[in-house]
Amino acid sequence: MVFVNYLEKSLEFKIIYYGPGLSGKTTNLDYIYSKLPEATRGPFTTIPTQSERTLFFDFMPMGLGKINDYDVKLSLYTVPGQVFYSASRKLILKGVDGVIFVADSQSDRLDANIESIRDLKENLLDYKIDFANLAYILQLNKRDLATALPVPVLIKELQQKGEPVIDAVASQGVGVFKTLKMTVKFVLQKVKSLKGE
Amino acid sequence: MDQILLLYENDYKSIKTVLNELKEACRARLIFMADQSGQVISSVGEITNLDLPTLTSLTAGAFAANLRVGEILGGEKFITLTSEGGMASLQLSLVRDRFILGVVFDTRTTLGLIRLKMTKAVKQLEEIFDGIIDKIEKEKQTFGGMESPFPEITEEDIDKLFGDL
Repeated sequence: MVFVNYLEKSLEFKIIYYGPGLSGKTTNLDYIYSKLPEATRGPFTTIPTQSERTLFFDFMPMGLGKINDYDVKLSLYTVPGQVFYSASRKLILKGVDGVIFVADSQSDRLDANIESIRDLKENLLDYKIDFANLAYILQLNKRDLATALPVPVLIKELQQKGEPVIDAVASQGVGVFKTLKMTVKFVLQKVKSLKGE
Repeated sequence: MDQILLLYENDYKSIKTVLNELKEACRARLIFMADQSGQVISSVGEITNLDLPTLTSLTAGAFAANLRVGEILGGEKFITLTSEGGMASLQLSLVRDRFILGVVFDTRTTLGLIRLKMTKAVKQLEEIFDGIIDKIEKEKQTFGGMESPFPEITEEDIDKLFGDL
């Protein structure tokens, strides 16, 4: 839910990194955390399982500076990718303003990507969030691996509504900020055009 | 946009007043108001050296799980959640299905007093939030939409936010 506070002049919204297990959602957040000046980022909170995979969510608050004198603040979340954490994923989607789908480009993960997109759309539907109107970006991660499928194949299989597609190697930071920036643009454009909706 | 909360000056002050009164009445350390997605709406009390956004996002997650557990067990939502510790305890309560009131307290007070005073505060907050939501709905109907605080925002403004990143 976009939250505008006129007295404190702040605008806050929530972006979620969604995708199958080990697709690189937490790696995206790790990279962002490592590159942000301390003054603009909050602490990185993670609740991992014993196998060090995300259990509940990773969370990081982030300040982006000012627009029209308003402080723009983001809350970045990842969801646990594993199939059996479906309940956690659904809880975290509550109040989401933008979704970055982090797809694993490897050929043997194609089905997992497709299943995760299906799961995302189903969960959004439960919250009555209109997927067609949601700020949504598709990130194709792990482009550096030899087992990565060609981009046109992944677009054909994974693109849902003509959303922007960004190539990434999150472990090296490639495409990470480009993806986030585009998502923020989408959300802010929706805030800008509130009147008349 | 599916959901937006526009908090005008008077409403924000009204919320602060309720939180301040609650803090005094139940001798709490910290009172916070968040939405169910974990975003902080307001807070009063001892927040020095405290990471409030992380606290509210984690409590929102725990609270959402608690609501779901209630539905699974009896078909009704659990609308309060208590977490007791040695140094600090936390009492959460649902406000109008969309917001969470949280009270952090210690041994200077009792859970019974906290619960009693929270009941009154929740009612007051529900009236305030009803007014806010009514206002948003009326604006939508009267003017065909809400007034955006960023009507003039440009691509360049957004680019500037990210600087060299």
